[in-house]
Amino acid sequence: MLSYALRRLLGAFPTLLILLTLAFVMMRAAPGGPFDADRELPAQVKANLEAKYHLDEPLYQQYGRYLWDVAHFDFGPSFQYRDITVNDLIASGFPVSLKLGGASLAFALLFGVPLGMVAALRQNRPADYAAMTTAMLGISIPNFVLAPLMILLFAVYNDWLPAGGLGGWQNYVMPVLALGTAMMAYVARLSRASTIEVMRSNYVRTARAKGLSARRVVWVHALPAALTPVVSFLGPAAAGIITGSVVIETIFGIPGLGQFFVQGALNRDYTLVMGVVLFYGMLIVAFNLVVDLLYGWLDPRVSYS
Amino acid sequence: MLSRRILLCLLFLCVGLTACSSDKSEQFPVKNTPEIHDDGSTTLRRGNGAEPESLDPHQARSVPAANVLRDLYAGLVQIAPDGEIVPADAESWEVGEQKLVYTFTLRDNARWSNGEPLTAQDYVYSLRRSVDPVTGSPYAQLHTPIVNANDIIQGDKPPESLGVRALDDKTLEITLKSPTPYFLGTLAHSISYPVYRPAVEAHCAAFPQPGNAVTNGAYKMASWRVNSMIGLERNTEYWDDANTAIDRVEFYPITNGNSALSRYQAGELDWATKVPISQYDAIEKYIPAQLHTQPTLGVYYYGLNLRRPPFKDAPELRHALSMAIDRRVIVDKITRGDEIPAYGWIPPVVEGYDGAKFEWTTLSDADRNAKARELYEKAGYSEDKPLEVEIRYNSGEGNKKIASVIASMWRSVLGADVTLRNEEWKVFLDSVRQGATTEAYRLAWIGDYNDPNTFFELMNSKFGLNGTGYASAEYDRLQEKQAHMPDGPERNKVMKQAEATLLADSPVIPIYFYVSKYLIKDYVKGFEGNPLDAYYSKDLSIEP
Amino acid sequence: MSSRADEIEIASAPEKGRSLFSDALLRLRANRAALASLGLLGFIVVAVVVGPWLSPHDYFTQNYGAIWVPPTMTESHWFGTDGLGRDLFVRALEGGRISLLIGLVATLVSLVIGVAYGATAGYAGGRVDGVMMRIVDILYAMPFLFFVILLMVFFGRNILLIFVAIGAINWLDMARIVRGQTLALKQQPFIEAARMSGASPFAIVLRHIVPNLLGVVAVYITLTIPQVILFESFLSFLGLGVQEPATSWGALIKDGADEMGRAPWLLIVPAVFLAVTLFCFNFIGDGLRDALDPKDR
Repeated sequence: MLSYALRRLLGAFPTLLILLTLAFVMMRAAPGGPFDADRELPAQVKANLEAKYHLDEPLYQQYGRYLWDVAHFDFGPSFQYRDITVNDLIASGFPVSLKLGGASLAFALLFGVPLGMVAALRQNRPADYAAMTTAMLGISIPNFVLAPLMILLFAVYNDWLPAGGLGGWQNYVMPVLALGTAMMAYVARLSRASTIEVMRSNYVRTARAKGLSARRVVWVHALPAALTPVVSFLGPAAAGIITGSVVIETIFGIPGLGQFFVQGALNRDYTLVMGVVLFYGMLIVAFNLVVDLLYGWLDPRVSYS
Repeated sequence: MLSRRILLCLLFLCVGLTACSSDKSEQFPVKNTPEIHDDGSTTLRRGNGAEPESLDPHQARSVPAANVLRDLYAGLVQIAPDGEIVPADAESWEVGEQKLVYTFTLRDNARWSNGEPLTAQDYVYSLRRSVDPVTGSPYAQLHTPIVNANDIIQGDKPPESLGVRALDDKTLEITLKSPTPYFLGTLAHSISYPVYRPAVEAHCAAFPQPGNAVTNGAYKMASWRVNSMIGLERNTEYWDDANTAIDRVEFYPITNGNSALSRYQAGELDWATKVPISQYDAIEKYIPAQLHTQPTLGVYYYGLNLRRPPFKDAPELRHALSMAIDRRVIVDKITRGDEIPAYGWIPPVVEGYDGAKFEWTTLSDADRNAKARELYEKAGYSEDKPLEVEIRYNSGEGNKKIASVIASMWRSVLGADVTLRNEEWKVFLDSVRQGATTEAYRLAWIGDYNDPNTFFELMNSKFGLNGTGYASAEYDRLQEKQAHMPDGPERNKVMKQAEATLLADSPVIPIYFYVSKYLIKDYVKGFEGNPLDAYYSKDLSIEP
Repeated sequence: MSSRADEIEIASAPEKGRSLFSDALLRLRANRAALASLGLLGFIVVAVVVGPWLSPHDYFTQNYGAIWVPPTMTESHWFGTDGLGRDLFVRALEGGRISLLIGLVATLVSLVIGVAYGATAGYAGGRVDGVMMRIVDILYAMPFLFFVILLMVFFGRNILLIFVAIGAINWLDMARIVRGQTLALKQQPFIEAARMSGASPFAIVLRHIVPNLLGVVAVYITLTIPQVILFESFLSFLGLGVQEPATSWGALIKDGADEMGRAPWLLIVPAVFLAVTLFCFNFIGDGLRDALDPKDR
């Protein structure tokens, strides 16, 4: 197990290097540059800006320079926010995204898994239909619809929660609900399916046949195995949710990382995009490793030799 | 009881947002909760569009950045609430006989926020920095009237050669290449603000950050969190601090109109800059007094690429397309915010100029359409041989609607075969610049100062992005001529000629002139609209 | 050893006289929720195909005299009109054609790639699995906005491309889930037995692993379809989605969300269409899952 984890961590370096390389190539192949605007810069001004950010060098040289800086944990200055470095942008956005994403994730798991399991244990009965209807509603109402509706209800027509911005915990309630609902629905659907699967599997049948109580069967045998597809889905989903959501952040005015992915790409802010991509890549690698290790722990059928 | 109310509200929300009661204030609730602290100090909370890309006055590009910078810095001159240019750091100025040499006398009590005196040398340094290509100012070209500025921007001369010098600590002399009627207006722009040299040299790119920034305006930097809020606080060193009422200003970046409105209604904003079109009717019905509209210096237009067919050498066709667009419908039904239909190139709100208009402006709709069809046929198109044309626009709700409407009008009036194509902004800009595939495309232009030149300049073949490929020697000559004439009937005549030439050649189809829309709470006093859309928080006060 | 033999019996010997599919069909017919959903979905499909002809309006004609008309029987604007005075009934159905097509095709693309990829990685295990999954990691973290922008630049705009783009982005989750399940499955005695009886790895994956995955896969499909349909509206922002005046449910919902304060029907109508369709897919998916479950056979 330990050596497996170590091997995976070592493997992360080539993974991230390939990621960076591909991202770099794709970004540079896209039309338009960071200094293009409808108010065109004078030629000399533009040339100077490009020289300042080394955009006038051959691509391979820029690539080498970038890797060198990254190796020193320097993501460079942002092209869009000229007064701020990418390191600072990530450092200011990540804690907010982590709070928001972590809370949404917890919300999704705390409600999604029980909802799915209850539905599975009462398969094709009213409780099942009710739970799954709730879940499907969560999936089919996009968050850009849910969020403004909640704002109208909780902040405009009533005075229960702030409509946006960063302040106390109250500011996180609606964003967490808006972000976590769809995910909760996913988790519920997945855990329902796998619980049904597991409850029919031989070892659960055997456990039941041995006369174990239904509760014990569910908690000790079914739950862990039922969680495997959820866990598999959670790896990248957690990395995604923790790096923020552009929709939720713009609607609620929350300064997380999510906006940088989209703003960075739309503004051709090369350094910012590379920075967040690398950051996201690291999270993906880490979460997926955790997920794979969890497999072995949750499901006795899986082993890493 | 409570849960029933929630359910009811939810139901109503689904059915039509007609809300929980018939009471007016509950149908469109707006909370009037000014932020007044225990010590009586006040905070103004402004919505501010996108996150400012920079708070370096010489690097800033966008309107949101300009809004913040106006509070942070004072220029030699400033824009009064009514739009007039009035003294700021400069107490007074004299203009030489030839209108070439401007001598400014700085206020004795003009100081930086750290207490240091503000000197003419600061201005010399800052103006040089603004045109130095190393700075990379997007607005450097605004200073081209100054001696040698253009050569410096092009990299041909050193920044020290700029026609600006300090006669003594408090006297600044600026020399122009040739008389420029709109020169003072450019001095109110952020590109002309002074920056504090020691801060710039010590912190480089990070000098505008709180803690590093030293400013000379009514406010100074207190906090800046990207995508969340920029906080400013009163600058007690400001020369006119005694007349500043509001103690803190907070700028919230909100790009979504509906979010801005919600936060305004929830009492979290005192001033919202984005008003969603779809809620315009409700706002006019329930809170008309809080809605402020102001025609501004901006034109929304369609460019026609003259380098390629079908618009190459086809003036009749270009006129036909222009005439086939019913601008009234677009402003009344689509933009809905009292925008002004554009039948010329220069916004009517521009000071001291009565622009030229298309000669068909006065025709009735039927006659106009008939005339459009006539020209369309003259250009060689007919029902059997319809024009195939593509409209390209950048993604955005308003752009999409207007493109749909224009396509529909060209289809129904002329029988043209129109396709729409939207592109992401940077891809769109690239397409327009290259002009290899574009046909008709949408763009807009916002003026930098209150003078027609800021619009005339755009169509000069040598100026910036020329997506139409329009290059008329006659137009260029007229544009350059009027730019250096003293204001008066003579200049007006030349300007009118230039505009008429442009309209006759029709490389662009002006659609409408912009109108700014603001929601401002009743307790915010002192707001007055001006066409430059330039507002200073120091001119406002909060009086519940 | 005996338990393994049992498993072989169960896994590969369906009752005599019934093929796997006729068997599944029979069970599906017994599931009322699935059957009703199938009927409703069929109705929606028929409606989006023939519905537009029932209305006197078409989906592109604008009427500036009838902007934001609420649903009404007069003028036959049954679902009201949008901000340009276009009939929402026709637009919602027209949008349905595109959305259903996109949803199905893109989901199918992601299903095929995802299942094949995930099952292969999971079954092969070891180094192959490691490398394949690291590729998935890389693709996850790719700035997909650039991917989409590049697709558009290199291949122009074309509706087929939208499917490819969406499917190409969406198969990653499927692959991970399938691989996770495969990892667990391949330790099962019946797989071991099949291996020992000399079946080729390909046959094992196809005949024994994939059928056992169908439950989770069927559920995941019902999660992918809405994702894909809504994602399409985001692509139109980048210029790759459907172009005006054509539309889709995703685009209608997005526009409707902006105008819901003024004209809520613009949001409610397409949202209801989408939700109903998703419910149908959901119950059909569950029904299929039950019907295809080899353990119940």
